[in-house]
Amino acid sequence: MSPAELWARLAADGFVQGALPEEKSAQGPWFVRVMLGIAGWIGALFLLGFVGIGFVFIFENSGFSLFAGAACCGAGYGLFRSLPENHFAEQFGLALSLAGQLLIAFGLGQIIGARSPAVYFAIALVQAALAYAVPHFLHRVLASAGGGIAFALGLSVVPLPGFAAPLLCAGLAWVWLDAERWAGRGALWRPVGYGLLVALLLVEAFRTSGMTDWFGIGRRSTGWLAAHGPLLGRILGASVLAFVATVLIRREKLASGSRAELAAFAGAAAAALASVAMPGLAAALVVLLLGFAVISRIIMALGVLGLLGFVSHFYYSLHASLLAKSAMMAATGIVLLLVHFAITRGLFSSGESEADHA
Amino acid sequence: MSDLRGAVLGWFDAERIAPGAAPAVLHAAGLVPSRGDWRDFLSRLTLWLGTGALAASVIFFFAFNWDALGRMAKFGLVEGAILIGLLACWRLGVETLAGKAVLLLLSLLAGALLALAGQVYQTGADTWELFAWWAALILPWVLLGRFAPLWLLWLTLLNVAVYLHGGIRSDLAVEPIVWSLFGLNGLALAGWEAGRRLEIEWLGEDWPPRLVAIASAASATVLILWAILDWRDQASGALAGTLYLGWLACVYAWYRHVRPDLFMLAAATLSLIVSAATLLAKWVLDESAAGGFLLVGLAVIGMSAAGGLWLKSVAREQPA
Repeated sequence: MSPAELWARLAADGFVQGALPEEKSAQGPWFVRVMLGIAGWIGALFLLGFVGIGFVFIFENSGFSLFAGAACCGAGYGLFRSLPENHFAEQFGLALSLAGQLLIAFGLGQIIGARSPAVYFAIALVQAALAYAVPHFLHRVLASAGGGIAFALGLSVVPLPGFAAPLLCAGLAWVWLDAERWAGRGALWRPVGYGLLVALLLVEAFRTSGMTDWFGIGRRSTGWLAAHGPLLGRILGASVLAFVATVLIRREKLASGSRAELAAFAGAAAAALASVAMPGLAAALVVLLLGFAVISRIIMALGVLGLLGFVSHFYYSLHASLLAKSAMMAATGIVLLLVHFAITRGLFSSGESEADHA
Repeated sequence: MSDLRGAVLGWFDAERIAPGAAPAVLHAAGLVPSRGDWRDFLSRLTLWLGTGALAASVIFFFAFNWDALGRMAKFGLVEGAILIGLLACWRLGVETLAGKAVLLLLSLLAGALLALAGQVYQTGADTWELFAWWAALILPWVLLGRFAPLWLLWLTLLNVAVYLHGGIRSDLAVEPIVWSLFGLNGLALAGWEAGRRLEIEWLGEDWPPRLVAIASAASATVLILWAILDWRDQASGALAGTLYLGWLACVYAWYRHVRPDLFMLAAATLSLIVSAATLLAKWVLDESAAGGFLLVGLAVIGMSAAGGLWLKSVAREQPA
């Protein structure tokens, strides 16, 4: 179906208003934006090197750092607004703003102290404000990712280990479960959703590779929350997974008490329970489910990547012996394959036609 | 589909969707799954997760190296699992999705068997040999399976074997690894494209060659970065530069004119930007530090802006 044909159909049903919009100049496919984002970061690091060597006083004084950072972000914003169709201005604005964000983070670190959680939460707030204020897709993705990572680092310093991933998952669910949000106000929320996804993957990569310890945070903490945080985080993650699954099941309007509905809720409960025992599983499954719910191959591919990362980290995680983990995996595998054969043989069929689906 | 998706999301951005109509519009445009789509998705998800979990279970079990279990029992277990897998594969048929999943499971179990042999008999073999033998042993199944993910697993095993082999002698650690991975992944990409050219049906999907292309682009970029940053031998550095330019030319010619694929062009563009920035940085950063950083930063911004502009203009001519 062509866009024009779909428009005519939707117009007849009264779902669209006004004239068919002219096709805007394409922003390019996602991988072109990824290429521009990576190059923007490289450019920003060199610009920062220029400031660091040529204007040493900026790094020696927190006030100068904050001022220069804000000026760079403001200049980037100005370039996006005044020259929206100029590719060089757009890329320069992106690099300038990224360099400015790093300068602001540096200045805040000097004022508040890098070992205080407040600095990371302050950086996250700045990033969130920039994601909201600067109307540029790639900038919003990068600012949201930066904000998500800063938020996670802040939680790690508090210390609330294990809480970052489930909270980021909750943020993802908030964006991607509501069509009025990710589609209706998509210019703002889609890039934020992608940014939170990038943050989640990086935070999980930090966790599995022990990188929070490299930053000198997260390890020295003691106390009840530090000791039980990972378990509480897994329970929170399982709750988010159960919530996402419940919303998606309810959306299908399965007949109440039908075999399909019971099987769907039982499957969701089993996956949530399994994810309490298996660190990282809930986040990967949430991403995969949300990706399919909005038919986004990119989000689903990142979910698969998360699952592969989960399995490889599960091998090394010390919360259970390899024998116990082997038994868990074997039981999970057998149950999943039984469910697969049940689905393929129509045991969970709702018995209703596809037309019933709203 | 992606054109329709972009157009519909553009209508949302232009505020042309009636209030409260978002779910209905997305459903009509096929941007949210139907109940049948969900059933297919969950069927595939449970199949692949179940297969992966079973394979991981066997690998974890043998990694535990349970003393209470004798060597014959251990071999009996893994060989029994392989035998059951072969029977299941025969029953299901290699053309079915379930049959292909079993082949993938068998390929992973072959690795567990080799690791067990090394563990029990202390063969003294290097780790790279495990991966090389693993790749060699599963080749018949890979050929039989005619399934892209199996080939990707096989290529991954070869990459790991090559990487570990190059790391045996620390004095030669970097150079042979870089050259070998460049050759291996370049050949793999060329082979994949040749297969597509022959219109082999199961090679028709876009995502597997794109993953191979990422491996090829990464190894080509590492090769040229190594040549730029560690240019000890002029002849091999020049050869690396020539081969890198040849790789770029091949990618451009093939994916611009023979089988258009913007993803591959974007990967090559990013590789070129990183390489050019490294070369420029090596030249200018020694001479003038602050000005050099500014120059390289501006060059990266300029190159990426030009690259983005070019890619978007190509995107208008060819599908993504």
